[in-house]
Amino acid sequence: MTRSFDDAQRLIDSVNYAVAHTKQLSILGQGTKAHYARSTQGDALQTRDHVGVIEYRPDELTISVRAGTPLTEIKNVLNEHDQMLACDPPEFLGGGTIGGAVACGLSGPGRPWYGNLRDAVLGIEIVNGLGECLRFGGSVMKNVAGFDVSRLMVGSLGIFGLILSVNLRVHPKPELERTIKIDLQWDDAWRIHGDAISKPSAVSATCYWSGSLYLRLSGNRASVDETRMSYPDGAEFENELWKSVRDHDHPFFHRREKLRRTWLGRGAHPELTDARNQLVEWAGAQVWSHSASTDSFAADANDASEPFDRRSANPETESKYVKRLRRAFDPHLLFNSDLRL
Amino acid sequence: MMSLEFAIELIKSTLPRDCVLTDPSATAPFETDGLTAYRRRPPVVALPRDTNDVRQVLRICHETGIPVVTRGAGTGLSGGALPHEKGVLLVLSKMNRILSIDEEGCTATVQPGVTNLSISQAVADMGLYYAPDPSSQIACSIGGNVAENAGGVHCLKYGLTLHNVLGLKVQTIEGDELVLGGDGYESSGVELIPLFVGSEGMLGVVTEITVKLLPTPPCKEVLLGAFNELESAGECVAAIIARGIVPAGLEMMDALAIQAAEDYVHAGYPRDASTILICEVDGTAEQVRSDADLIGELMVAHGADNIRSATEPEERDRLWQGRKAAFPAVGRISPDYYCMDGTIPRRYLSKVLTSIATLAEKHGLRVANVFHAGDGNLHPLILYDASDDEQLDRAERLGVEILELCVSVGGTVTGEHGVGVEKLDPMCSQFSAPELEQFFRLKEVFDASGLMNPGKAIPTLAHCSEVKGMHVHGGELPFPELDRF
Ligand SMILES: Cc1cc2nc3c(=O)[nH]c(=O)nc-3n(C[C@H](O)[C@H](O)[C@H](O)COP(=O)(O)OP(=O)(O)OC[C@H]3O[C@@H](n4cnc5c(N)ncnc54)[C@H](O)[C@@H]3O)c2cc1C
Repeated sequence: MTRSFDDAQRLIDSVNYAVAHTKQLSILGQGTKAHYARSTQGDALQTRDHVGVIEYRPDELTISVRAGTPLTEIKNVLNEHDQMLACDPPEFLGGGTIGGAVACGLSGPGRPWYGNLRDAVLGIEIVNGLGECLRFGGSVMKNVAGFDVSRLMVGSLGIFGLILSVNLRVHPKPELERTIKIDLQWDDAWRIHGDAISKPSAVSATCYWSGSLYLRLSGNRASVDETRMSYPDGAEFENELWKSVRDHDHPFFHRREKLRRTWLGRGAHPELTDARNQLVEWAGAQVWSHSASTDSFAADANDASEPFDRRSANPETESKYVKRLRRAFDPHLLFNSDLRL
Repeated sequence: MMSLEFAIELIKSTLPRDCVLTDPSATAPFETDGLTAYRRRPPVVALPRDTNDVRQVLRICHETGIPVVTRGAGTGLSGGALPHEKGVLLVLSKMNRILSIDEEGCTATVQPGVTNLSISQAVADMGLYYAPDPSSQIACSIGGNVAENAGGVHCLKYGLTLHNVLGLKVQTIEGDELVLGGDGYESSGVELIPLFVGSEGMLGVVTEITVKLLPTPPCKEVLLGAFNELESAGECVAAIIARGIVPAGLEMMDALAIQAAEDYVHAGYPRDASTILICEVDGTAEQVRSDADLIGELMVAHGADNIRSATEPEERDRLWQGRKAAFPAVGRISPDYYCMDGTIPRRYLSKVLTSIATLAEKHGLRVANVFHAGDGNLHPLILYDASDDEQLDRAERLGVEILELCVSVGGTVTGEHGVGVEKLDPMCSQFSAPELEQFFRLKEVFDASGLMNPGKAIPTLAHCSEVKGMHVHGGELPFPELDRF
């Protein structure tokens, strides 16, 4: 059994206290993504004690959890029913809370095939900057009543409010997962990337690094075997690879400073010049690099590139609409006021 | 607010003649959308040719303080595109070009007036398709799909419009163009796409959409199972999902719908069944084989007799035919019908359907059910005669009770058709006053003057206080701050 404790009232009281005393709040889960986004303004608002699975319905493919629940616990609970969070959010430093995962909105290596956390969120409960506890969405698959606030919260770094609980859609785990490694030039790997999204196959993750392409194949045995046969040069490799890439434990990520990510159009063909300092995921749609090599591949004007560390985001880039949105949820700018979207 | 006449003159002097309609005979076709019980003649219809025209019309509306209602193809079922009696109806049907297709990246960038089906048709030769497939797909526009977050038969596996849109260009009434997302999976900054998808024309006008295309599955199989008991069909749905299969589609029809469909298209459905389930699986040959076998076994285990299956395209189409023709088929057995759209947790399927039958009996009306069972999205069709005011009244009351029933089991008042003007009342039972106020603050972010599709989608607190039978939400009295509105 997982730990379960409802700390909502204390959290709501803390927000109301901050409203009354014009204090600022820095929302904090386990702090595992401090190097990505962590507010340093104001008093810490700890979600760590607001934990537990509120309801898990394997037959409905839904789970409802309190924000402070550790990701690992949720994954274990789902695993007992051969289900999973398809978007597979990272567990940096081996942990993290679901609230933090939703606020950061990061996805694992299966992003193009399994979607992101936004795709999986069905409903949310938040406390806005007026201290009001609000619920949006629900626990059903289809719901178009009112604006989709629950999905807006995904990746919003907590600036719109405190997440109390989330309802998520879960997925059946594939019967089988295996990994293969193929040594090839970038241009050939790029071609395989194209097939991985434009042709039906069992490919469910890709990673190109240092002259090798890694493919994860998932599905039932027959379909995995079928796809496996299209890559006769591939050698078997450990499935552990995907976790290490996801959690930034892979050797590429050992140098943490100046880490950048670039998102490319799905059909883009970037030139990789420094194969050891660049790691390509998502069938070519996400390229990680260390800043020395940032400009060493030609990305076209549509491509977005940013330092992984969001704390250095330039406040000037926040658009007037985002500024207004922030005020619409949090008029006194209580929450994570130094973070920018 | 300046006069409407002045705004119309400005629009006439800005857009070419054939792009502005004011003559009552020309504007008549625009007085209603798919929810025909509501009609309003628009004083002026503007038909922009491109984004620049849209921006000009929005500028004029902003400067003159005239409301604007955006319309795609007008197939919406909740009155979202119902004209404003003192506003401009902005109809996007001329903006119907596919701007680009990226075969390698599997994306297409299109104008909002492009019909849903024409995207899939344009890329079929490349072995690709656009997954969300509302039953109205020959007619409805992709812009309207975005504005409603439309679903379809295949959304169980492939997601709603939201899950298949990568990028949007949106024009705000203040004159800004928002470029959201792109052709990649992520982009910097806050992700506003979810806010615009399903926003029913309340926040801005969507002028360009980049959608994700999927590879056409190599194999498909359709199974049809007939059940004597509604309960066992409902349990079979839950069992299929619980076994780890996510079918491409999983639809249910009740006896009245089966009979209406049979009379109309003779699809060969078992007339004596109380319920049928139609299930489609797709993927590689092996995956389809094993999923279909398991589903067949589960159907038998839940008491289905008469299981039919089809793998060849014509046979598959035949099994789908009755389902696809179900709405018009029901239209033949009643002068009018009223289509509901509540969604519930799947486990309550049989309970809710039984309660709906009881409610229908109470109101002396018939209800046919044809719906997306796999994702719990009900479409009870209430049969009535609109020429009889008293019947219309009863039908509407039954509708509200059905939606309240959906909310009471943890569901929602609308799964895919939107709130529009139709479901403002039940919205009052689904959301608390602070939640509704939060929605209005969100609307103000993009539309401070309140000119974009006013009066739709979100009920004001004043409206909710008028709705009879105040509802208690979350244990509190719902509208403690009524004096604000
Ligand atoms: C027979 C039938 C079957 C249907 N089946 C389904 C189904 O299976 N699934 C489903 O989800 N729906 C279904 N619908 C409902 C309807 O087709 C969808 O809601 C569709 O998405 C509406 O598209 P439209 O272009 O007709 O939009 P309209 O009706 O013209 O407009 C709908 C709303 O969108 C807004 N809007 C339209 N275009 C834009 C734009 N470019 N920018 C901003 N706002 C805009 C309008 O203001 C309005 O609020 C069905 C309707 C019919 C008549």
